[in-house]
Amino acid sequence: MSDAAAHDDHDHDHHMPSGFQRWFMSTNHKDIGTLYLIFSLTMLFIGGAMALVIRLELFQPGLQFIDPHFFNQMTTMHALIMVFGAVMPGFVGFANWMIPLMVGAPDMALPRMNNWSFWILPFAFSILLLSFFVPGGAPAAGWTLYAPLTIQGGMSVDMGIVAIHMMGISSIMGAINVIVTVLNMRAPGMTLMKMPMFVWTWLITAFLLIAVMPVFAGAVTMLLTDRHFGTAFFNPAGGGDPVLYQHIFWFFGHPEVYIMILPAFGIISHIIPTFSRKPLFGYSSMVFATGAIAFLSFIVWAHHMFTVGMPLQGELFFMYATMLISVPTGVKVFNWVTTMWRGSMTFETPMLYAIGVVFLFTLGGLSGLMLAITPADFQYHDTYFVVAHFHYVLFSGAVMAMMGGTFFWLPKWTGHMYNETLGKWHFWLTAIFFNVTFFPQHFLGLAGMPRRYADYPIQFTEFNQWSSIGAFGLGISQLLFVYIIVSTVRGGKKATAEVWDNPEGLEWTVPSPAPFHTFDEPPVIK
Amino acid sequence: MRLVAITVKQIAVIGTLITALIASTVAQAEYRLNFQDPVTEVARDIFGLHMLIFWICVVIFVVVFGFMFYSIFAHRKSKNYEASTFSHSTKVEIAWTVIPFIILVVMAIPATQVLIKMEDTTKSDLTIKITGFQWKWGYEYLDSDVSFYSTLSTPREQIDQFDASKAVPLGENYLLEVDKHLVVPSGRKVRALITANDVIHAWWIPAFGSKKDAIPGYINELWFNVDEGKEGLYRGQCAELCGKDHAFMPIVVEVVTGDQFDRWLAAGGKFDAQDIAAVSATNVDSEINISESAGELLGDVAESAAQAVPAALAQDAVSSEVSSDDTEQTDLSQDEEAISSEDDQDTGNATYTKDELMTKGEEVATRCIACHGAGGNGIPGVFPAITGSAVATGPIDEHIDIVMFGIEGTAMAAFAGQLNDEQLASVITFQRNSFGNNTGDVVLPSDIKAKRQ
Repeated sequence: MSDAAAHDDHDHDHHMPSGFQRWFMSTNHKDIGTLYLIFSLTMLFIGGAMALVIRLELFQPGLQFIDPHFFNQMTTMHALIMVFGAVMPGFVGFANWMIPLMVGAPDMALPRMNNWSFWILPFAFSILLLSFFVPGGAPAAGWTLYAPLTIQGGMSVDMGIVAIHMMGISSIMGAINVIVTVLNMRAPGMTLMKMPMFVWTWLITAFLLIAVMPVFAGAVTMLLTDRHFGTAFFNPAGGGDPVLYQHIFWFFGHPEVYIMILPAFGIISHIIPTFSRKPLFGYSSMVFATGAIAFLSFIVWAHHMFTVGMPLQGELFFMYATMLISVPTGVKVFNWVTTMWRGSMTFETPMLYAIGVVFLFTLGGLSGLMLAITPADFQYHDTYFVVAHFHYVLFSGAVMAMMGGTFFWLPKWTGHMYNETLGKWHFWLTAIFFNVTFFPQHFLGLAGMPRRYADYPIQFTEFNQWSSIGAFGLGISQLLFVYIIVSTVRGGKKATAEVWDNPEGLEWTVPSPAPFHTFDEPPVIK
Repeated sequence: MRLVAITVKQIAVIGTLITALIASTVAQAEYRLNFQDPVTEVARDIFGLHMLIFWICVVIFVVVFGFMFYSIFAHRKSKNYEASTFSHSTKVEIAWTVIPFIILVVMAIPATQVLIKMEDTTKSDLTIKITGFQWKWGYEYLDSDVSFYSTLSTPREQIDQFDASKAVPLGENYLLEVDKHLVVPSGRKVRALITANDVIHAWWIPAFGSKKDAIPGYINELWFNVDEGKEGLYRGQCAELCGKDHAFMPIVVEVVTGDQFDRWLAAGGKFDAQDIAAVSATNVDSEINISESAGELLGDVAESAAQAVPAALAQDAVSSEVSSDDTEQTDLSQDEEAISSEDDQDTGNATYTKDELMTKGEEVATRCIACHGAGGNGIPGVFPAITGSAVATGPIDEHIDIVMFGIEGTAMAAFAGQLNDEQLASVITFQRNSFGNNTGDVVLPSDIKAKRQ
């Protein structure tokens, strides 16, 4: 393996273009990965700014800053941008950077398609963001785009639908690329059951993407024809069925939440063994658990819509199936904790993030288990309890895992060590402000505050104030994240090839920063 | 550059927030950490189930993270702890797959029982049809003539605080008060049929443990049976995003004794003098009044109202006969502004001046400005303007048609069933002569009456 590294070293800037050609016409998985990550971070700030507008308005009862229609635009766009702009492209960025390095491939299998799947995104999100400037403003019917409310919306809904189609195409192409790369370009000797966990989780995620993105595309297309071409799939005025939309949407929407969390599980499964100095516990059960979660994710969708008036049998089925998901998810958590058990742990920033994710994600998972209990869900549904739940799994699950992954691999990407003190500050600020923001929302929801409310009765005031203060703290703390990344790119202590203490995986066999071309000669896995 | 701009802006904003917090004069009611006190058997079952699952989750959480934090404390390199190399154990892995499964079964059994009970809407004593509108609720008592709409009664001046200098103190039941309460009896199984007129809404009273989506084209069912002795006011809100004023269509249910309810229904939806005295604590809310004396949270209302019922009421004969004769009733309770589709006054014969119509119209027009804006400018692309619109300045006939019968497939509701002739005539007159319009047209209630036939 050191041969391969040496080989990479001497020709690493032979074909390296620069400027426009390098970034816009790139077919290099590392550069495209970087583009994805920068895009994701940009979207995190745009979506985050919208969250702060929401929290500003909700700081006290009454309408002080924005009218309810604009408030609805903010909640809708915050979600669309975070889900489709920040989290999904973020993980594709990690996949681009790390999958070829982890399986010992020189690049992604379909490099030109890779370029295209990235460059669709800035256009898709420009269209989505430009919808703020059309009459009536941006989409305001919630990210779920429920009919018939979306049938009422202005032309921004159509722009949103076009943008969703474009990002769907991008996601599907990205997923195809991951599948082809993983199945065809692994180094000799790397059997499927020897693949790193991140590669496994992404392989399964890619299948989920291919299965459900077309379903979502179908749903929004039907919405579009209902709006403009007189069809009545979902429009009750023409005999259409609004509940059908919800079934189709959540058939996409539930696997979608696993699309956003499985790669995070993968990242955590790399960080914890590294800093515990001990192999990952229960590798094969991790793989099977991931597969089981992916399968179950297809048969639980209606738990998002227990209150639509389903037959009792349907409610019972979706309750049981949903509860069942906690078994494989529990297996994963137990495996991580057992990996730490009797290890020799150190607590660098990536490890802090990994522990934070395991802890906080599990909290969100347990509130998810509570939500699965149908009779209780009737009370929780559409309240801030749900908002708290999905931010625990999405922010302290997916986003914090990406932050941990960034600190973990940043030395490999840039060749420099980040500032450990600042990294730890960033973790603690993020974790504390996150909890100040979202923990009180559990109480708000239980006490009866519905979600997507621009204004609220006065007994909800205190917890909303906590939440708003936490949100601004959380938002400002992320500037530190940008500062750390920028300063690490610019300079800092030189990173070794291994970076950490004897880590496992092919990515640590190439020099830091990883040269432009790696594994021209495939490494051999024993 | 961009980042710098954000920093400065964010610092400014947080500074404002902190100042606002310190100087905050906002009325604050007591907060809660958990569900509202349940007043039905189902709500109590749900509460019990919720707490059971909660404590199971707490135990799991404490055990799992007890291990993790012990490990973090003990198995660290800084204590020179040598790492083991084990990486699997079939026994342990089977155990932690099977044990959670058993815990799930333990959870599923009571959950299933409660769910079966919740979904059993048979053998009801009374059926009410609930219809969600953008943004109000309509209630119809099936098997009787009583039906009405229920809209938010919190004054706009309390809600709009864009100009801090004009801010008025918020009432105790800010956003949780309506002009007409849904009145239901305690101790009887009330079945509700729930639907919607435009988009999806959801009807929810937390203390009853009832929430169901109101979906256009569907009729959903729920039921509740409020405990006897728990009479009082119960408040809830719309729980499914339904557009701009989603946060402004609360639900207030007034639970009265069975006898009081029978008399109320028999009188066509009016309490008699004695019952008004009995439930007076609850009636305060129906006036648009910010200095409400009912400054209590839900549980308290229930108790005080229950205590206020005089024993004398028991002597009153129960009138189960449905009477449409209003003249014998002392009408003290209901707000005169209340809208009623049953309005059969002979409005066509009265004479009206334009000024009268304009005054009346301005009151009714609060319903218009919910969408079309206080200035009548609407929201471009979503809600059309009234100001200078082809409808409000064009042919009167079309204008009347649109207001009375709505526009299919849009948010424009049909008001023929919601407003009486006089109200319709005055609001159309108002629209044609305000919001910057000045057609000089006058629409008379007789014009509306003619359209109804």
